[in-house]
Amino acid sequence: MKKLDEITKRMPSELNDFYRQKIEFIKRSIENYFPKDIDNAFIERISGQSTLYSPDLAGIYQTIFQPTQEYLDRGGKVLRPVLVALCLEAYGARIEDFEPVFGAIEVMEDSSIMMDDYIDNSLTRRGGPCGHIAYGYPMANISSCTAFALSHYLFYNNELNLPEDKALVLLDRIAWEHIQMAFGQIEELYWTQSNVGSITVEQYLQETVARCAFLTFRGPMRYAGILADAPAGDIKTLERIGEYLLVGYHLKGDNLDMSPDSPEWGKVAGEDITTGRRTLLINYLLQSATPEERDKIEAIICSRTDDEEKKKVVYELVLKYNIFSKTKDLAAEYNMLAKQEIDKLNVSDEFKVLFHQFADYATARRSL
Amino acid sequence: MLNHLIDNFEEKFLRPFGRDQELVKATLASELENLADPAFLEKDVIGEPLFAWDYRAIDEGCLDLMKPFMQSHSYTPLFFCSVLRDLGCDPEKYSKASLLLEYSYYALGVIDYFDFHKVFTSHKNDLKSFAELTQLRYAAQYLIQYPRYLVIQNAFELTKAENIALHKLYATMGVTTGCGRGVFQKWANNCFKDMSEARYFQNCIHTLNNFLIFPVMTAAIFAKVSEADKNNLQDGFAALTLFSKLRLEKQIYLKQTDFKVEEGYSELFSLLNFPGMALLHDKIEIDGSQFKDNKYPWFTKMHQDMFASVASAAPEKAVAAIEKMEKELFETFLAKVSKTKLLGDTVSRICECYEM
Repeated sequence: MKKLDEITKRMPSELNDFYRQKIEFIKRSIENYFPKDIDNAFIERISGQSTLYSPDLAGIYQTIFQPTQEYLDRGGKVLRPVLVALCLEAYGARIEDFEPVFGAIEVMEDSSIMMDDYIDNSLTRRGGPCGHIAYGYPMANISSCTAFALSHYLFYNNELNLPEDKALVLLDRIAWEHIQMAFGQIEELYWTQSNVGSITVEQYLQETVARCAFLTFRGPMRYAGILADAPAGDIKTLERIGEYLLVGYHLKGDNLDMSPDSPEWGKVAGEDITTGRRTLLINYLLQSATPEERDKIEAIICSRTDDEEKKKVVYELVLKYNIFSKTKDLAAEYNMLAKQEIDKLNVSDEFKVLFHQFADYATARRSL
Repeated sequence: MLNHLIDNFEEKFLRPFGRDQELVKATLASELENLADPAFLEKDVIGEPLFAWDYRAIDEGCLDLMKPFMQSHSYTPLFFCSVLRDLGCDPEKYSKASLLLEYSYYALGVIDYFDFHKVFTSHKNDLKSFAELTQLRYAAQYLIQYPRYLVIQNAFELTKAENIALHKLYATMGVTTGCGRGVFQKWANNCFKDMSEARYFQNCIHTLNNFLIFPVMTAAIFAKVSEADKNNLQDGFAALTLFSKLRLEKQIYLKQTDFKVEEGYSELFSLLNFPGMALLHDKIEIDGSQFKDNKYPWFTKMHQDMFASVASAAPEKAVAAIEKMEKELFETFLAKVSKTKLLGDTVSRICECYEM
């Protein structure tokens, strides 16, 4: 876990207090949910099958659990579990009644970012090597998707003993999110690998929502709303807030990829250029650039280069056309839209303040 | 691949149910049209966009890439249909479940085929080839997830508990096949030095979960089979999975099968025809020195080397060990399934398929 002060230094005071109150509980939940020592009974629990022979427990641990565990041990900001806690308590639920949910959400997050890392061909994450660097691509591929599948064992085993209708609604919504994520993923990879230039702003934003909202932040907000028995109308509003927050969060992330504002960011600058990703920032840049500049940008993006000089060419054009402020303005717009939706929630003013502060932290103040 | 796992599968197992072939074929064709239809997707699968979908991704980013992997005799759905009928259900009512079985089969094929090593050992830092493989990998991922719309829509008119069970079965199939492949990969990284027989057996069951266990258990949910009977069916078909895998290995060792590693698709078959028993019993040596410059050995090359060794070594001890196991495994299968008093016809046809 990153130093608490480092994580919370940009949080407004109420959110800062809330975060500090929950963090130890969330850490315990993660440790309990994703054990560092597995036995046969645990394998049978997550696989839903008895074992006829002796599984290679060490092998399963080393290949499926350990790579994700290393991400967990390095510690992220655990924003999604914190948001789940916020949603649950906003609707009067006790987080202690849903202890494994926090671990499940963070394991989903960390196993899925291992997939992102090999898609992006990233080198480092949270100050350590990415899964494919440490374990090789085939292992990272199998490990991340299997750890992601098993991270849902809480839900598919209904270990919270939820009533059937609630358990099924959750599983249906999770499955729907997975379909969305996979569709968004093929959209993005198709654009990138086929060098598709004709992407509209609306298509980019939709792809972002489809690909990422399962965890950032629509999915966790929706699941928490369902678990806490929030009114149906509020669950819809929570989903919309999650989508708007994601747009702001993601646009800020695109800017940070090009221009990290902290050494703690833990990623190499300009990975989006190396992977040929047509971010909104690149989209806006291509719209603003002269034909000659556009040709140059296209050539660099299509070449999948990690040449720092070439990346710098794109970076300087981004500065020349003030593209950062354009995407920043759009992020601010979605932050505002999220806040308008937050004000519609049937929760106390105290929680509305916390949601507002979370929105600011996740978009405008996002740094690490 | 079931035709490789079950002897005489086409001739003795499927022949009585020729009409299922038409049903499965028609269902898969119609569902493939749906998959490529933006109106259908928007209405039934991914929903209306908050902003705007780019439907070009379906054909150009998914189906065009997956088509080489979508050639199949659909043996798993056909096996599912016959089991379903034996459980007293009309396969027509549940034929769309073919999508769950068939698409996960395609996707697992891609994951097995998906050899990152080829790119990263043969073409250092070839980011373009890497990117193409990644796109293929995620096209497969979409095909795994896509059929879940049927469960979300309750297309099979199941109770809530049954739909929960179907969600669980689909998730755990991913967990078992993933754990199996992870362990297999780890063994490969160490030239299979830390593979023991008991671990190998369990790993075969995990890895090949989608061939027999997944279709039987899907049919069991639709047929409202009791939990106790489901457990017995699961254990029984786990034993049959291992039996079938070892039987195939034996046939390969004795050169009794036409199982071929096709050009360009070698990784697809590597888990099914992996000569584990020869490695365990006949001390087939893998020359690890050729991989010493790579942190992780290129499994395809290792696999080819193993097959060359097996072909020349005539692994008699492996054959003897398999023959010793066969009777016990088949009897476990029969004992577990007979406890349920279900699937009498399926069992008798499976017995007919195998010459013991």
